[in-house]
Amino acid sequence: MQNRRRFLSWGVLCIAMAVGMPSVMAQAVPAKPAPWRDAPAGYRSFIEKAKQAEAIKDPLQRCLAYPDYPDNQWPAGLAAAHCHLVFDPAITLDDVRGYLDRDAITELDARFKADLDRHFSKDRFSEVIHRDFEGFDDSVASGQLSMRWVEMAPASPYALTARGQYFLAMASKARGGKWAADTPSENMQRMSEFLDKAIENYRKALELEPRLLQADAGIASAAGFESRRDDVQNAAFAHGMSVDPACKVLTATMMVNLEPRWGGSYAAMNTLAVQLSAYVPQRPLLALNTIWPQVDAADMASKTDSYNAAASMLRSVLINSTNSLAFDKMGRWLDYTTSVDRWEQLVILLEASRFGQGTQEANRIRGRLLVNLAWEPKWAIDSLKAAVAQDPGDAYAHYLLGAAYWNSGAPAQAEADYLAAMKDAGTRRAALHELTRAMLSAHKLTKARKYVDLLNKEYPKFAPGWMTRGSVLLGQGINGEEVTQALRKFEATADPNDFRQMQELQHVRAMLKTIDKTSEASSE
Amino acid sequence: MIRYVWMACLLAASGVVAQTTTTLVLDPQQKVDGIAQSEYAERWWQWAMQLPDGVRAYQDPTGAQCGMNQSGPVWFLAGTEGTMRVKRRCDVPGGRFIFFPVIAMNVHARPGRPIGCSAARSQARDNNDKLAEASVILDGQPVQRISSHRVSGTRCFDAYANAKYLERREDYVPAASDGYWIMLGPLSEGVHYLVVHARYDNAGKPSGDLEQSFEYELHVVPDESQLRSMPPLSRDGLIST
Repeated sequence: MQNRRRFLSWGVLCIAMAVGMPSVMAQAVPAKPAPWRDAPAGYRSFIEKAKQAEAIKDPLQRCLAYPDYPDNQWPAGLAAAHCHLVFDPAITLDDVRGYLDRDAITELDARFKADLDRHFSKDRFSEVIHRDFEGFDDSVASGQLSMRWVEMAPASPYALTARGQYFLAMASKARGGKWAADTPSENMQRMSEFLDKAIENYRKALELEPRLLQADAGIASAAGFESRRDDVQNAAFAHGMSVDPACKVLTATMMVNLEPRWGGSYAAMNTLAVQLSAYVPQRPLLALNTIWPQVDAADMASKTDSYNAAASMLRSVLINSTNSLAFDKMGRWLDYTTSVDRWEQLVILLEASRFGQGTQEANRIRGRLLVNLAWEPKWAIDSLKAAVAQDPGDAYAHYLLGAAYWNSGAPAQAEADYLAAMKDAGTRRAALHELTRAMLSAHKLTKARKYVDLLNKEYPKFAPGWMTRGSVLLGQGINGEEVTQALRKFEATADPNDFRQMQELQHVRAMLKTIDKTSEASSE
Repeated sequence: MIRYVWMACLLAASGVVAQTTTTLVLDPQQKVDGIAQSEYAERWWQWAMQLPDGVRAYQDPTGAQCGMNQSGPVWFLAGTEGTMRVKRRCDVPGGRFIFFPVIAMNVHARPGRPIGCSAARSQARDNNDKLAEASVILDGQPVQRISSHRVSGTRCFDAYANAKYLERREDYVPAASDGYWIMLGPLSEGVHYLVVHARYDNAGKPSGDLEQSFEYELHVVPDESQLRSMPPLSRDGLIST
């Protein structure tokens, strides 16, 4: 009897090894070179350089080292200027808090003034002053800090601008993202109240420092929320243009305000684009704005589900500008077009990531393509971590992140994300199955058993789950009848339309035949 | 000082009936309409979270929306997030009790950041154990012994129970409430001034440096229809201990 058990044990083990793991999306770490080496030549070279750049920790150096989009016709110096705009060191909320804690108001203002002066310097030109205010968003921390700063320094144009930024962001939050007709009146009223406060603070700032274009842009942006403030908007834009007719941030604000959806027109947008084009040789960052009429037109096409037309409109934009939002949109829209070159889509989404984090959907799609197409699970982790941070309820992003961890050789790390993916019915079965297998890979056999029990209970007709059960039992040192039962369940539930399951079925049937013969011989 | 003189003049002009804070402020153990103040604290959070971020009562810069979603015998007033010092004007129907936080915490789970009930209660309690300052002045008269108005929830609850804007409300459960709350008896018709200031001193902890200041100009107006439908206002009836 003891000998028969040993025979069965080895028999099952050999067959389990022969049939391998059931077919699922995520598989073991590949031994061969990454498949992107077989991508079309232009894309292959791009991906290779992008991967090298990804290894650079410093964000500015990473951006500068990143490859340019293939066959682009970007204005000279645009990519580098864009990198500096996004990644040059800027003043943070923590910096501001530190100055306030030390009661160093004068020093704090001096730092802001130094950055403002650079906006008007020929030798040291920079628009970093705008980024100095970026941290002042709609967060509680931003609200508390800007209030404290204004109370400590009521005559600081920078404190007042920061306060304006906070109220502008709160107005946007109160407004919400729906069309006006679908937005409750209380939201519109609250928005209006915050806009009043924003404009009041910006105006005080400009009285103290008329060169503060961030305040002009803020007023123009605030006024753009309500048509009744058109005069305020026009006055702010006129004032700002008199200070600097080529400010990237002010002109971007106006370009958005001129969109048809806000009461403007493509004719007006194109007029501004032509006006700005004259400055592009000296101020290449303006190329981020001159293409905005095409981006908006494409955006409108996408809203009627005309993704082919929308993508077609954006192609020329990508050739002429590094605008990362355009790359982000294109990368997302390609998922909805009738035909798509996935390598091109990946390259576009990588280029989008060069200049910033991007949208949640773009991060998820980039992660998906890095896992499934380029076979770069480790590279995918950052994109997918960003995607789940931006939307913790996105079960599919969690599923992909779990797969990325597992396939990067860190199966134990995959557990939390697979569990999160199981909260959604659409990804539950696949996530639970891969979670079981990841725990098996991580030699966490108790967990693997717990999860496979759940898998078999919830999805008794899911054949690969029974195969995995056999593997888990063997991993636990359990053999004999329980394993045989799992194989019989696999045989009974295998999907005849699934090629891989049918291949496995042949092995399983041979195995079961051997087991039955041995069993009969033993009985005799 | 000047402000109080001005306020006193206004009070005289508006013919406010003499009410003292001593008689108006309910003890924390006193119930209203058979409901404990700890439950009113939970209901207050559910009222506050009924609207999405940006439009909530504690983010109201003017008081223009103070009447949103009010119902029943108790009228809720809002504090702030510590991001604004606000002066709000609010019309309050007569005969209503008035309930507001001097300073309070609501700790709850959120998507991707689950929390257990005991941890939520512990975090909500933490800052309130470190109350540094608290003052409430009603019509120029300070409310005494604010520290005795601590209302700690004995259970967890769903702060987003009325938040129809959320797709997955369960991600925000559980929640725990702790803080210092005041329940005022119905104010006389006319104008009343409420000034609240409070702060924690719990360095390094989330919201451990929260400081809030808010003022209300309360216009108590007749509301006969509401009064007819309300239970009698007495310690044996609407108020109970």
